[in-house]
Amino acid sequence: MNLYLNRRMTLEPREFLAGGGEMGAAIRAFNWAEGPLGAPDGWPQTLKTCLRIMLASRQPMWVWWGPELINFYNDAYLPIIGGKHPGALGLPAREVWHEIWGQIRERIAGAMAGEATYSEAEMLVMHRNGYPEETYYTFSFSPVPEEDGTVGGIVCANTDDTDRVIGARRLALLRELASRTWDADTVDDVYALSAKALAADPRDMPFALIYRLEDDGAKATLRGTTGIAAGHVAAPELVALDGSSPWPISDVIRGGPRRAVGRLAEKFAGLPTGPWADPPQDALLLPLSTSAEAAPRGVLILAANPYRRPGDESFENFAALVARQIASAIVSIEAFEAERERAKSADILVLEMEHRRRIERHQNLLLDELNHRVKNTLATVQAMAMQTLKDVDLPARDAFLARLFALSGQHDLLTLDNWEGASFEGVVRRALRPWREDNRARFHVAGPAVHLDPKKALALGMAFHELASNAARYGAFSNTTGTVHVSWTISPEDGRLKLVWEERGGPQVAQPERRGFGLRLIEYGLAREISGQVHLDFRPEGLICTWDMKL
Amino acid sequence: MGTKPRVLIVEDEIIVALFMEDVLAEFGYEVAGVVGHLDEAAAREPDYDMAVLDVHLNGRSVFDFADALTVRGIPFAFATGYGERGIPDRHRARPVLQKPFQPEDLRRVLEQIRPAQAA
Repeated sequence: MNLYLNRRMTLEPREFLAGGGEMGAAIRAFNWAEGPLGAPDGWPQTLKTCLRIMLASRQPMWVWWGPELINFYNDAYLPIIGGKHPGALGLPAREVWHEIWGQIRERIAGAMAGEATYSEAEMLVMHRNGYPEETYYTFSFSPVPEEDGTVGGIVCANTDDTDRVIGARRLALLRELASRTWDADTVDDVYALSAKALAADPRDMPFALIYRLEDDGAKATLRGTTGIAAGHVAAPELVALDGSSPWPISDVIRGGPRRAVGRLAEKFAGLPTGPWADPPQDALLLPLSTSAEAAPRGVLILAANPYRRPGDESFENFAALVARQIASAIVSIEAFEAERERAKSADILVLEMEHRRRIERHQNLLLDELNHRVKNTLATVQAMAMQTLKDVDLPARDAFLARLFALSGQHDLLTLDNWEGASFEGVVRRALRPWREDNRARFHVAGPAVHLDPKKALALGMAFHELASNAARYGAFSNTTGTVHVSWTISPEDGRLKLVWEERGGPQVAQPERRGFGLRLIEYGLAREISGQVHLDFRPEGLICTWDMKL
Repeated sequence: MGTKPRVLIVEDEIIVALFMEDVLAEFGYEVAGVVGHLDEAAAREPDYDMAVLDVHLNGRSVFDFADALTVRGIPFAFATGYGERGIPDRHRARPVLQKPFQPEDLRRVLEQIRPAQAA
């Protein structure tokens, strides 16, 4: 029994450390006797129990014991403690975790005073491998009471949340990017809004630059920044694509995949550090294109988190997603802009047509007004003639009024076409209208369609009026059987118009002794107005008047 | 003769109005009056059986007054230098006298609109 007890006693110190994998072995092999805890044989039962639980656990755990908080940890904790192992074993926790000590000191003190804590996904920048790393842990500090009621140490269970936290914020950033760029109206908006969105994740990207490739293909301009001022030595606003830029933008634009640029601090002085204590050491340049085949619209430069886990490819993958997202937004806005340009030009066309219609309406109003005044003036002149010549020389009055009406009628004709001229036939018919009423069968009008400018139309109209009234007084219309044949042709050689007014069946015609106003108007006035020749041939069987005019 | 139809002349060209007065008298109408302003025309007691309306009087169009005549059932014709294009649809059916017009034209139009009971 005693022997047995003794045997147990001798085995006991090592027995509680039995198993426990690598760390069990390490603790067994450790020379505790020279440290503050002394040899394991003398360790309190609570510590032994804690270590047994810790070593058996698959969860990363540590135990800090005694006033010095001597450090124990298990196999599962090895990846967390990283390069600090194996030196961290048996060391006071304050020395092991000097870089985060300030952050956790109060909670440690609280735990040693008997107060348990639970911290969820807390960021800890650990220097476990000789450089700072951004990590996230959920951990609980549980005080371990001794038999006397005092706290002998702390046991802590850890969960590594680093991947979960970083993954979640990257996803959030991609969502932010999508929702921000959704508001973009123009491609420039996409750049600016993307830069704003990138500001939501400064830990992954302490600063970012977005360059747009200009249409000339020779330069790129800075369209968005986050975490760095445009114009900073690392953020030139204009980059010539001749390889002179400190960033290999031209390489990326020329179809290269992403490029990593290291040793940033050597290239650029005074780089912003973002949320970190140190400036970024490297950056990624990514083409803004929706696929490997698509032409890049620009280049995204993402400064990388200086505290990111080395060798972790997840940042590169994430950066590629960011670039792809921005590129998609650009491409879809390009399509939208193109659509809008098309719509706009259609709008402009509509506006132009509306404008033209308005001008036409205005012109019509002016012409109406002008015509109104002309007609009112003619009406006034007519009224004056009627009044003045009431009792004298009735034929003279009627001849005058007839001319006035001929003039007025030609005005009407031109008004119908907004003073753009009138057809030759229209002019003829309008001029002959007072006589046609009663002599429809005695008129023969035939000729090709010809358009006359207003000046010629008025002159020709008045000339026809004079010819017809002459015919009524002396010619084919002065009896009941005469006819008038009006025909015109266009010469195919010189394009001149030749017109023949031929009277048949009237009384015998004599050469007039004197040329009255009407004939003179035809012979001289018309010739001048139409820049042509007018010939009057008073043949006994009827007058033949021929015109030769330039159109 | 009390049976002569009374015609109101709405015309701002005084010479034209005088001419119309003469022509109307010649054709057996009585001129109820000549007005050159729309306000004057609108304010006037309807002491006439029919009217000839110049379309534009001193820059204003006569159509409001034409509406008033339509409501009162007083027949009228337009006199205009514009042609029918200047006449709104609601008055398109009214006879239009193209200025300048012959006395004959005026007589024809007046006969068109002359109320039967005044004939």
